[in-house]
Amino acid sequence: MSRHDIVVTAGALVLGAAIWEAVGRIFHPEAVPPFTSVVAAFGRQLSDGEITSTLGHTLGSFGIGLGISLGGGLVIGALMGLWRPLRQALSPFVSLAQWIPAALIAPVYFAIFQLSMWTEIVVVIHFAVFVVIINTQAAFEATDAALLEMARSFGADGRQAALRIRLPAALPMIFAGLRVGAGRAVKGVIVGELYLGILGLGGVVDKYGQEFDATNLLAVCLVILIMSLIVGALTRAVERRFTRWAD
Amino acid sequence: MIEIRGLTKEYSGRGREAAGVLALDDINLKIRDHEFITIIGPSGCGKTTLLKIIAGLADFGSGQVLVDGKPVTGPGPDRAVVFQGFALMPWADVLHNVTFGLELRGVPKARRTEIAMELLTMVGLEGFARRLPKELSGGMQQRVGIARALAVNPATLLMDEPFGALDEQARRLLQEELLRIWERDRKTVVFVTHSMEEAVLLADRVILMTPRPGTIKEIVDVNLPRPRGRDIEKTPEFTALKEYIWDRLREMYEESSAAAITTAVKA
Amino acid sequence: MAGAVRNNRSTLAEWSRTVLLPVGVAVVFGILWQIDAEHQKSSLVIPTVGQTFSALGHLLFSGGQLWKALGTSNEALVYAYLIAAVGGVTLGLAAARFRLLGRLMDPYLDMALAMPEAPLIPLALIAFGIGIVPRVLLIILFAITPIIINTRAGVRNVDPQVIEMARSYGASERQLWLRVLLPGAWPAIMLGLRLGLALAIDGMIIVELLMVSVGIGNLVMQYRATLEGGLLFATVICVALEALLLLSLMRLLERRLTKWAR
Repeated sequence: MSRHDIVVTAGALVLGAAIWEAVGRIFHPEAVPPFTSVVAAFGRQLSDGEITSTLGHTLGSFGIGLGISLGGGLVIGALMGLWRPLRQALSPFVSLAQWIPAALIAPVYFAIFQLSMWTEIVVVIHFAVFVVIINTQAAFEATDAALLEMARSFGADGRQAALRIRLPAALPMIFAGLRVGAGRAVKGVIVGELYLGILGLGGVVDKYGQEFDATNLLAVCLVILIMSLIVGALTRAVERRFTRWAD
Repeated sequence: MIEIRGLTKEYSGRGREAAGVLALDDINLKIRDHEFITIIGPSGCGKTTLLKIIAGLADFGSGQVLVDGKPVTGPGPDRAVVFQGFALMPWADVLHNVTFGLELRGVPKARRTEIAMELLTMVGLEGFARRLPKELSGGMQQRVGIARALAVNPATLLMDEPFGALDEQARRLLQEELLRIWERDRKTVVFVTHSMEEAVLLADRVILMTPRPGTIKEIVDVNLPRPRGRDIEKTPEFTALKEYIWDRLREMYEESSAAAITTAVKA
Repeated sequence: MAGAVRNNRSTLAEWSRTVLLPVGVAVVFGILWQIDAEHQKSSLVIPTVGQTFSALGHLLFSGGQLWKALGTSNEALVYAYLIAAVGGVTLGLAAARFRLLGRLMDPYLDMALAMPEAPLIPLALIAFGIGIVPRVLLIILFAITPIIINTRAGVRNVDPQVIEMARSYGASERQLWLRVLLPGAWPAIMLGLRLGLALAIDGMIIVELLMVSVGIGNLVMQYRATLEGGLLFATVICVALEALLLLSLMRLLERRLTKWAR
């Protein structure tokens, strides 16, 4: 990002904050407390420790859910990409599952797993895993035929070709899937927690919502925003690190 | 007539080249009506920039560019451009691509279609009027580009390496086509190319340009008879001209290599 | 001769594999589900396959509960999506035309992409109470981001040589937009509209599940509360079918209108 870009971005954020502050102070709408009040509440929540335990819970569900999505998604996607019969068997279901509005699945999983940690985790998995499967599958399916032919001409067998050609060539799309999947996982964990309404950041949002406390609610939204941005930045950095050659 | 006097242009964009080096330096050129000019030179000599300035698509620092005595301030109906990358609108069919310039000028539909079909027939594509550009080969797409330019009946055709993106067979066919089409009206043509054979085959005069700064090094008269066909390439006069131009170009390459080495040594 | 016979046989084998394999998977899954449901003693909510299908039939054909709920839910969806489509495309075009505006929007678009919109639902409740207005506003929020981003990218990605060509033929700014930029950007705009529709449907559901219940969300909550597992699952299937229908129609439209871009 050039100097100029940083200035414009900062300017945009400052402008937004200023408008927010003005609206909050002049109109006193119930739903829009001034920016500074929200920041103050944010600060208090951090120092109080209110946020730390709930954040821990959210990150835990997020981490486990994402981990399972990645592990399972990569394996299933790779197998589907490499083995045609499996792809034919499963892809209608993968596509179909994507059509279901993801939030609708929360009550279903709640019905199955009741009030355990698993409901949340399964919701996260539902949000994230299909993207990972589809991206991984496409990544393995689309290996450059010319490269594979080259490898065969040097005597590589199926396994060597898979390891030395298909896998590296597939990495860009796989990491893209990881990045999008992580974003989906964040949405999943928040939606799941909001639905259950008890634990984690989503639970806190629900609580303040019921108390009609817009200031604290927005402060937690700020926490969620920061968490989302950090997850996004981390996954983008990982993606860049491993796929530098692809551009 | 196109007159260029003392045309100078600096490199735009940050950090490009050494500071103070000019893209075009004191260009002076007179192009008579009905003349076919080709411009040739190594990469970076400014030939495309010069063409764009005449077209009114690029601005310049100082000097004058006059068409029939009037200064160029932008694109105009008297000049039409044919682009190296064809620049066809992929969402429109061949017919609508050809009528594009006419549409912009408000020519009524029936007349537009009439003109377009006439030109498509002339370039041999009358059966393809409803096809999309992606269904045509490169050579065919460029013929559409040429038909489009001719549709607005410009006094001058400005062609920016129009056959550069084609394979050799397509290129040769289109060169012959162009010669044939040109004989009809003998419009003024300014044609930028990389190829010496193409430069000599098509032109009345060949302008040789050098880079850094971009200047006109030499203007070579091509006194070969018209109308011309492919067979002119076998004549000794053609070969002599081609070799002459190649020698001049090679000098330029050697000079600029020497200059590059000196700059590298200094740095 | 022999070659032709072999070809016919392999296409038949190919076709049967494409159909039979998924069906096979579905059957296996159905059997596992049935076994699991029959072994469930504590959870009354997981229905058997049979219960689900009969509930599906009941919902679709007798009693108007499902259709009424769909009507309520989709009302908000229609208003919101239309506003999001028109507003989003306009903003996207403006962001492409005025670079400063685009740059100012960038950080907010990035945030909107990264952050889940769901936590803002209680906020809308505080601001607007219960009713159609907060639902519509929230669905707009869900849907508008991909529309803006894709529209803007579509305009920016029009071949610069075609733009230069249009200028060389004397196109005015208005002509440039109408004849070159909009048609050129159209595939990207349609893609954005399709993604926006998918998110709008998601948003419609999320809002009803997490807010005071109306429509489909209400139905789902109701069936969960009364432990009617079959009806619950069946409702989910119906909504999924609606989403499938809408998005497939959108895809078809997209394909037909942008044949030149394939």
